[in-house]
Amino acid sequence: MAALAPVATGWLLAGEWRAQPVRMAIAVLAIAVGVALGFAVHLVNSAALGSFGRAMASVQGRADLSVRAVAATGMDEALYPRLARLPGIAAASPVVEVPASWGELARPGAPAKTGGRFTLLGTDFLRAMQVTPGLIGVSAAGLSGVGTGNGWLEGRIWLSPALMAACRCRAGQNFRFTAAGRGHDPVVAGTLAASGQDARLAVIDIAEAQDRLGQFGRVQRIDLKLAEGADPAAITARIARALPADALVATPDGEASRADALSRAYRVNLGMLALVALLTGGFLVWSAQSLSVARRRPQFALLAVLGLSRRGLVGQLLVEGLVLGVAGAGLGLALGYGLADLAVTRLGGDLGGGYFNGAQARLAFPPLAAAGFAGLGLATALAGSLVPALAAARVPPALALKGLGDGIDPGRRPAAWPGLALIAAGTGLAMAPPVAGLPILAYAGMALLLAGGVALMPALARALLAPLARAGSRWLPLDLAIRRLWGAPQAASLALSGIVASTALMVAMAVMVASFRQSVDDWLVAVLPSDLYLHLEAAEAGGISPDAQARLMAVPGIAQVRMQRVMSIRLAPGQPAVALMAQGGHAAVPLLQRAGGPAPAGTTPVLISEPMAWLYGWQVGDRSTLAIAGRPRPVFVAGVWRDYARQFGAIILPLADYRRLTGDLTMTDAAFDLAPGAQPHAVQQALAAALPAAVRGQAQFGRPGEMRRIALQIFDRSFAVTYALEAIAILIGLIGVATSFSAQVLARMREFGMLRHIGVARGQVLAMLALEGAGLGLVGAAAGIALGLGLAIVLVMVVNPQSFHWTMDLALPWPLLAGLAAALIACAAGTAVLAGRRALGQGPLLAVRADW
Amino acid sequence: MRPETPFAPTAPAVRTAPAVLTARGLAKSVPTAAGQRRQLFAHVDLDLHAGDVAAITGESGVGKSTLLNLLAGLDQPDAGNVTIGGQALSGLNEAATTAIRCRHIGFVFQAFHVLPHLDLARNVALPLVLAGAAQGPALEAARAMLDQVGLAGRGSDHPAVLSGGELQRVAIARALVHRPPLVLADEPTGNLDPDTARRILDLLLASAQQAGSAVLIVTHSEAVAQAAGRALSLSASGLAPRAPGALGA
Amino acid sequence: MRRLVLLLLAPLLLAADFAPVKPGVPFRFPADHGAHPAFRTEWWYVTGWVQPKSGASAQAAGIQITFFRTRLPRAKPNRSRFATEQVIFAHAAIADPATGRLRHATRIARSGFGLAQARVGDMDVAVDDWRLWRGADGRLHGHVVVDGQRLDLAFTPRQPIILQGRAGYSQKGPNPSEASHYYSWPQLATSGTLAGKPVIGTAWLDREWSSTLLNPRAVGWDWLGINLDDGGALTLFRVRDTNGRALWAGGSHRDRAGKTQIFQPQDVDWQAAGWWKSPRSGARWPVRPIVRYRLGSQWQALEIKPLMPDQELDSRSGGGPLYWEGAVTVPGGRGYLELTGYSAPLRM
Repeated sequence: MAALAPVATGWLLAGEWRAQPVRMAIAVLAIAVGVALGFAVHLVNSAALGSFGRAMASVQGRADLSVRAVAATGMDEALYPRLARLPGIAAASPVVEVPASWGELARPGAPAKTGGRFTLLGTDFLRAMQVTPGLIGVSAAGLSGVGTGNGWLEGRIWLSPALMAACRCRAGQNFRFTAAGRGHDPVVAGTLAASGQDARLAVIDIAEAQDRLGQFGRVQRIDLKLAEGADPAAITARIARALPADALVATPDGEASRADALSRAYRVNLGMLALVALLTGGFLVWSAQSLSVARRRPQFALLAVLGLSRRGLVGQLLVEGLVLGVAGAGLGLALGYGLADLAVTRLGGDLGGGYFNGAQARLAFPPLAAAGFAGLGLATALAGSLVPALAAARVPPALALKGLGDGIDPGRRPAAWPGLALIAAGTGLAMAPPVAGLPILAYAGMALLLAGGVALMPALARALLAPLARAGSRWLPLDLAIRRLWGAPQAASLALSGIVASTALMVAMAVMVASFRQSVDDWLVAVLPSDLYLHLEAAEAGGISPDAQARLMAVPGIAQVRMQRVMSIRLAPGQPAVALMAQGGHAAVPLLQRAGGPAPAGTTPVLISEPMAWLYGWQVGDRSTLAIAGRPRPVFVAGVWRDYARQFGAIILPLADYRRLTGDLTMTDAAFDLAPGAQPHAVQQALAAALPAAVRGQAQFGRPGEMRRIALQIFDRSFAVTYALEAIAILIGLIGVATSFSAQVLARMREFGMLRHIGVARGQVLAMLALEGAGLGLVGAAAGIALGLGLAIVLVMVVNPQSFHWTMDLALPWPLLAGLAAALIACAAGTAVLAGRRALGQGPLLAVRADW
Repeated sequence: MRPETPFAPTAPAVRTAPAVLTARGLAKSVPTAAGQRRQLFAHVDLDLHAGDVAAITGESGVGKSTLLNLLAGLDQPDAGNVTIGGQALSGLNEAATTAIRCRHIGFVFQAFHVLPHLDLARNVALPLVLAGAAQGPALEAARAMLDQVGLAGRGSDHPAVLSGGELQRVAIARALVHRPPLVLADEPTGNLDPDTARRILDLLLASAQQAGSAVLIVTHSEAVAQAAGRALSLSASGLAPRAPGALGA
Repeated sequence: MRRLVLLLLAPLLLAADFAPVKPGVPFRFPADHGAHPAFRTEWWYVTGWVQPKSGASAQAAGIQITFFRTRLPRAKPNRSRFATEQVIFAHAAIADPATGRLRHATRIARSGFGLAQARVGDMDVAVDDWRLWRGADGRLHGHVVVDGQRLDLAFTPRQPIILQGRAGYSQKGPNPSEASHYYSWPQLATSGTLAGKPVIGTAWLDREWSSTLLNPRAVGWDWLGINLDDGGALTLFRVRDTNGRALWAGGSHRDRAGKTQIFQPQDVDWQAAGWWKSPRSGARWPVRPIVRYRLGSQWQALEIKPLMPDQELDSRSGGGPLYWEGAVTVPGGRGYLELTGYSAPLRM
């Protein structure tokens, strides 16, 4: 006899589907939602990353190796012939690379205007042909501009397909744009040969680039092609030895990992949240299966008697779990794809996180990832079915047949130690250091804390209710309710686990987001003390000249101006760039730590941001070096400040020192303090009029109140997905509560029939059920909120700092928590009563007579 | 046939038939609330051959249903052994016992125990498909069995619409569909009114005889005990034949 | 259409900036071995036959090394070091009958940064790892890499330079302004290594610089340079129009003793013949032309035999032309034949 007869399995499955279609559908849906969220997050992430990676690769032109300047101001072009002559290098192509913009740039929080950012490249066509042929321009006739007698192609520019589409230019028209603080107006000669569909690039001749940008003697990048059979590692080492302080070797892998690192923490967190949804779905499957198994115990006993072995029974239940899992996973994949599509078109490839500017994400269907997520959903469904299956198989059929073997023995105390052990282990893991820069162990610790909290529920419920049980109550329904809860904590725990898990998760996320938001708001107030701010977008290569600065300062109504020059600087290969902010005047940042004494002679005092201290290990009082204007300059860390705007670090140094070291007198940002009585609006208009025409499209004015509002808007948008996941977690929890209550109530129909027979009124039975439900809801909400606060502390103190390298202050949203608790209690009581009404409606006689 | 057992049935037609069920020296005790154990019975011996009909009576709580569980392999005795169809149950694992039970035993319970969400034909066919039969032949045999118990053509009905007596007919059909050598019945008429009970009992015995199965009935009812060929009384000291007419004390 | 017009007009438009080719300009050496940056186009063109030092002449191969300098003027002044006006590009080819077709390579770069330049004052033209220069010992040296094979040759002059045309003013078309400054240095004794193996042979250097070389009606030219076995040197060329007829022709013959005759157009009769079709480009090249020249008052016929038919050179991917440049033998001499403008009109 086979342990699992297929025909019998099929009949029993079909029978169960007919008996409990709603419960099975909800279990399928729970799995589907979890799989859908995980799959959607993965799809969006890969699409955005893929297109971002392709865009970056297009900008680099797929050279074998590149040497890059650490800052946007470039490096000495004399490096080019030195590198070209190194053994193992077949060809070297020098490149000028600066950020540029056309039209009017959109402001954060406002809809996109007729403009945008792009990267301007200046190449030597003859060299680029050998090293990065994708960056060669082709005219409308399809011919390259090389050596056909057309001259040096002065005044011409080639645009990538993405840029041509975005600015709506055609060959032969003029393309007006701003770079390095100046306006330019060349003729579009054609498109680039093979730059892909993602990047916004424009290419001009390198001599013209140096002339237009005022960048004589400097290039930002030298692309290299290696000789056949050359050893890349050896050559990279040889190159690194030949480099000055302000140049780095950038390998394609390094660049890819830099792009990856930019958003990795954010993506991992999103992925974790999606897994949380799957986990909650798993809880729901577990409770649904447990209840179903409990209800069918006598049926299983009959089947065991008739000839279904224990293995066969476990197999039968696992097949049920498998069917749930397959249906849920399939539905989840389809839902996930639709969700991802919606998210990408509405929210953009970074789901509002702001990491992938200007890259259009294209969704692909990855079979391997889909199989992975389907497998996860399947595994969750199987895991949720395994424990009830094993529990069912353990009950001797002889007992179960008689209706005994319910396992309820009020004398036995539920063990508290497994839950406590899990909580202890979870706490330990939560305090562990990051692994590969990610808080993996902390997430594992959170999972253990959650499991421990849920496992502790029976013991906790009993402990909380013991005094009430001892005291008793004269009101019959209350008395019965308390005794039932106290006497059958395992049954209670089934219903409780869903509530506790989803409440805890929701509370944890809500507290983290509230804390973060409050900290960001406080920080914004601290960093925006002035009345009016000016920012130039896409102006890394150069901003407003000193003459224009003088004109700005002469505008009436201004009491004080603080100028700033902001650019990115790379401190390590493979790491995202750090923001270098040269600030005039007193730095308006909230300091977390301050150095004791003044800076030593010969060093420049710098203030570093919290993420910078975390990532690069710089401490207050340290002396280090920064490559500025070609040479390493000694710097002294005078303080650490809190920064939420730049996740990868920022350094503030005095503007005067910067200007002295580099000779760069331009300015990209300014903070204006207005004179008393001055009208901000009028002053802003006067300033806008005083700006050079070339940078008007890049200039953005802002007032503190408005900027705070927009920043918080962006914050909310980037947490939109988190909010959605919170809501889904709660919804799943509430559905779990409702289904488990109704199932338990239906299972106790005979008990109610008996109560009615001995004279308990219908209303009193309903009251008893309401109180049971309320009691469970109260215990669950209290435990869930307590557990959630614990998880929130892990999130705020461990996960966020390890992921994003900043700290925040804990803030508890009391109204939200109170509302949540009230909603849970009401829902639990409500569903218990509704189910009770349905059960009692059939009449007591029928209840007692029922076969089962 | 074992000459040293004075209580073996004497019908010559079955003297040479093989023993369907043999029990020797069965003893069972149960745990009490105080943590002790209470002996239910001991020294229980039993022989059943094909075609035998035996009834076991006894006080309530003496362990009649427990004895039935031991004989079916659903429980392990403290002492003694059970042999079904020549195979000893002791020493077999749970899967093997289940396999034997599936092929060699049919069950009729007091509380009908019909699966509410399968139709009648499928309920009856359960023992066959659990043993691995294909769907088509199993359902055919089930419908034939339903005809035999007087429920012809009702294979597609669901148990919810049946009366108590009809449900027990279904149970009888299920107990015999796989032609087991042994049928165990635990208070088969307990939930039925007297008229229906009589009819059901007749049906059970006739069907079993037609299938050539031995029947062992556990009952309170005097009428049932009288209808059986052999009546045995279970007490703490074992199984003893009972004089017809005297109710189990 | 517009592009074609621009191309045709470009030489005229830009000619105003370039140095013109005028007759009567004296040649000065070694300065004129070096570059003349004011002119639009210039080349150093070495061809020759080599054979393994210790081998039969049956294993002979043809070699060609050419360095071009092109001047592309700039419209605005520009302080950038990349804003040079000169582009250096080079071809090198080895004609080995064992291969059946040419092995060739190119280099191209704008001058500057010490990576590519054509020096003024003496012969020293280089682009990346290729170089052609005149050493202190008076010998010419060439170093190129073709398909991974190094070619290191030293050319020892044994005879004086030939000033082609009228003391170096070589007319190329009916219009006097269509001309170049042109000298040749034949019978250069060659030695060196080819892919590591020592070789010896004889080579020929052609030097031309000009700003307006071709008549607008010209589509291409044929050129022949032969080192005669008896120590003489023969140069023949013609410039063709669309119909294949000669717009202009010329050349020179110098005998062993040094007596030189400069040919006028009516002294050269060149008929295209021996058509060979390239399997790659589909162009048809007359690789066995029927050539006659009038030496003194006698017409001499020349039977030209290419080392192998497939000596086509495709430099279109680098913006250059498609042409045929091959080692040939004639009775009593060996040299090189160059055929241009047979697939598309040649633009210089």
